Amino acid sequence: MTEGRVNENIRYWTLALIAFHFLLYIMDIPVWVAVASFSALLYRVLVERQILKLPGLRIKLPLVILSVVGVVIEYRTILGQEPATSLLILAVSLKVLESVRYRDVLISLLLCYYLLVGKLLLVQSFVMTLLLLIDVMLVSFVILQLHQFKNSDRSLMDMIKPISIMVLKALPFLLFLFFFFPRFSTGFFKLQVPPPPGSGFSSKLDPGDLSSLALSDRVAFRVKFLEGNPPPMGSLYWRGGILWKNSEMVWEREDQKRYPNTGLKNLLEAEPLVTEVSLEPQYGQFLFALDRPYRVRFSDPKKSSRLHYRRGNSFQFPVNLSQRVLFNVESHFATRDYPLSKEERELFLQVPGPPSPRIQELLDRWKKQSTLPLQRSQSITRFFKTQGFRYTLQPGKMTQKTVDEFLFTKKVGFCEHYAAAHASLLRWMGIPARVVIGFQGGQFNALDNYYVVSDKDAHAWTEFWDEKQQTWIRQDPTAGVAPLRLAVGGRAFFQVSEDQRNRLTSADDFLNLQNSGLIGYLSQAKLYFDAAAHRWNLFLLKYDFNYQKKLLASIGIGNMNRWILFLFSVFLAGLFYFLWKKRFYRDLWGRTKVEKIYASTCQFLARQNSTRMGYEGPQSYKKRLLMAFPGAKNEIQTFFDTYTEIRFAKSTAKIDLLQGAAVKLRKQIRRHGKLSAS
Amino acid sequence: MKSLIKDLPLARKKIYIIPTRFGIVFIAGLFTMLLTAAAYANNLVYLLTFLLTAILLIAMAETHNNIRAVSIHRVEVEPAEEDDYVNLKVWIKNHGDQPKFSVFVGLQGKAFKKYKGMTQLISQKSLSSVCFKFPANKPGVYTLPKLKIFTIFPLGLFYAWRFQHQEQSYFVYPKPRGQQRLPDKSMGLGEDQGLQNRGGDDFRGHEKYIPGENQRHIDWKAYARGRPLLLKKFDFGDPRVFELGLEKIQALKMEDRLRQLSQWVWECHKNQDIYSLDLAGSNCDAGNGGHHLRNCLKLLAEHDVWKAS
Repeated sequence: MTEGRVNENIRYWTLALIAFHFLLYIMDIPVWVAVASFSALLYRVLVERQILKLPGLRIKLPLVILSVVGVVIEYRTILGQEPATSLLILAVSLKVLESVRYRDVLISLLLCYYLLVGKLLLVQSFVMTLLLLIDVMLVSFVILQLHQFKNSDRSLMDMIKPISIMVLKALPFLLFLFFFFPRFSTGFFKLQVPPPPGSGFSSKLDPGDLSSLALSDRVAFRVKFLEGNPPPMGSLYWRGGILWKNSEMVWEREDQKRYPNTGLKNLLEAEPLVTEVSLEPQYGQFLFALDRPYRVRFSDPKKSSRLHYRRGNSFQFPVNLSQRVLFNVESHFATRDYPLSKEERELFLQVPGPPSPRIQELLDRWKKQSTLPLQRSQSITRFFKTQGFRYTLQPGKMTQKTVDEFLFTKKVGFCEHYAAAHASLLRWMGIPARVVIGFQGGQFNALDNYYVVSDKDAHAWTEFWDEKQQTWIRQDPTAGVAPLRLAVGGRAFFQVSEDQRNRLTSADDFLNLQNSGLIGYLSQAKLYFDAAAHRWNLFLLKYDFNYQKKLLASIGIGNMNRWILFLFSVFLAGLFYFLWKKRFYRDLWGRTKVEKIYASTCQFLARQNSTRMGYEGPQSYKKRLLMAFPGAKNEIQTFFDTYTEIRFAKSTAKIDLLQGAAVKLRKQIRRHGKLSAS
Repeated sequence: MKSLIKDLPLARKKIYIIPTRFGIVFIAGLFTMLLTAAAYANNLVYLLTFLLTAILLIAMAETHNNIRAVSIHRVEVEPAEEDDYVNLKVWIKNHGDQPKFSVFVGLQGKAFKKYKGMTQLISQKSLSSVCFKFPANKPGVYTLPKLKIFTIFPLGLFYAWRFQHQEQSYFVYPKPRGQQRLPDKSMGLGEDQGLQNRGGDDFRGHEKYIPGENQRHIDWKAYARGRPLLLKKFDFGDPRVFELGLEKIQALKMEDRLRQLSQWVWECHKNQDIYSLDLAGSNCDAGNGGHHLRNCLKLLAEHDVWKAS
């Protein structure tokens, strides 16, 4: 079986498995790679059907060169996870076009495992875990087939069973290795990925950016409150970063000054709220935390030290995130800030130019009404509330992107419009202000006490500097134009169409709508599934070097030299194996009682030098035995006929008789012995 | 022609096990996977690596057990023709309670690596036969190299083998080759007697057809009538008697002379004639049949000239 061509069945199975692994990547590879790989598979199928012939070296060699060139053009390099994955897929595609021998099947399947590894680096979830298990079983199944029957009349189920048993036997080792194999502390952020396209959050906020982000329903992060009571939904703000360069409706930030993450704990006036956040990797370097975060910590202090702190209570990752991460945040909304420096004041008062006359009129009016910045800010909010403004996910384009256009012509916007206008107006009134981007709201999952924040909750709001209190104060203009959006969260708010929304007056109305009917059931089911998957993801995230150290310490391996621990792991693994072997191996193929009786009788007869041949059925064997042991004729007859009836006529009534017949047979044969040496 | 049969004792020997080439590549692959998992601190990749490691260990145990209770029960070797193959039929016995799969039988030694036979299944407590062949070299009497039972079932990751001790000898007889006619008893050297091909006329009866026999003599009419496949056997009439000996042949080399004798012996056997063989030093009395054929061929194989080169 190690020479010559491989069985046709196995060739098809291998192709199917390869196709399965390609499908894993269908969303992550460039279109031309997907097309090329599936074309190769299709070509191969046609070759199997003998419609086409395998390509020779003259075609394959240029294909190899084309592939490498293609990858280099696409990614500018061949180093890195994405180009490597594409190259791997193309390599496997080329392999598919070669004549298949024993070792080709094995190599292809091994490469499939590597493709799986690549996918696991990108996505970790409960579903991926199941996929992993199924994948290993399928690959092992094909390899088993390869080493077994050529023209098999064993059914599929017959072969699934030994594989399942093998995997079950492997489970104790797996668990042991998983928990006790020494993990190493890594430097974090190894996987360099390019900036995610359209993540929605960047260093520039244009009108329409967040509304397009809020069209998707992707989960952004999940939060659990560890210490302190969660604030009401209306106060659940998740801070991502601040913008301060004012171009009326467009806001940006410029300098790249980053500070080390040493924490601002000394600014806290009260006990902070501690939250545990598991953030999905689609926002590049942005980190979101409950407003206002003072300290962000990973379980690994090395990772924590690599975080950056940026101006305005925002934290940032050193590189674009590639995997989901888990961290703890200490936040408090009652704050104290360092006094504004002269340079900062200039920064936060910068305006592109004077306001339009219409706006100047408004500003003068407001300035006359009050001198306090808070009240001035509230005037703006009231303006939004009373002057017929609309809050919508589809605000449409702005031609000039000026505040004037927004306030008097357009009057329709999403949170970024209102926040940008609000902050500009404040600055024109001489109040230092800035725009904050992040999320607001979230959906509470009562099953596991955590909040799920999604893209629908994407939000922008403003902060202004209060001279008297020497602190930044949050003021959300959306509270004026769409207070219910803040009260119920983005997901619930935008689930309902705009017309319906205008009819709803309280938060409860929204909740009732959400939980009613089919949508209600679906969302309940989704909650259950999310809770379970989230638990599993947390486990995967949490079990790292530090956790393991604690776990081992709790069972007394705290101080052990890592090398000794490794030996210990190996030793225990061997011990487990031998114990397991003793206990379960005997019944691997699961024989029934009847088979056991028959087998032991054949064994007995073998000792009498009348071994049953592999091809002999019970009746043929019986015939031969009748000749060899004439003195035990009746007993032989009884035993074999009973056995045949049970086995083939399925007469279960006779099972009890079989044992008795076997015993009588042995007695008789021992008494009379064999006829003569055969 | 009866083959040389030896029933072997139930010798239980040590089982050796090493990773196959695929196994080594697999282990190397596992290492890189482990490094990847550690580099990215990715628990799912760790999970995959450890699962595959565990399966590797289990596979090692399974491969070991696949030949654990298996031994060679009996070896049948046929005398081989020079430049042809030595045909072996080996009966292996599974003493264990579980069926064994894809068990190979081969010979020890690098030269014999290619020559092996496989049985796909040996049920519990039963026998299975394996046929394979290896090339015969020059004529002579040889001892069969040590027999090896091996397997790579179930996952091709490990290669387990054990040896069976046996002292089985076989011989290779010279290739029947020569143009000279059979010597008639009454005549001198090589005179043409027109006795080369004796066709038979007298119908002797039917004999059951066994696959491998000459298909020319099948009685198709009988088959058409519903009877099983039968061979028509003809009498050759009275058997002739030949005295075969070295001195009856003219040839330069001893080897060619022995080959000519071998050809004569086969012809006589085919025609069911009686013949005797006389080599200077050893001889065989007149007779015919399978045993006689084997004895004569053995004599030819044992000749000293083969041992020289």
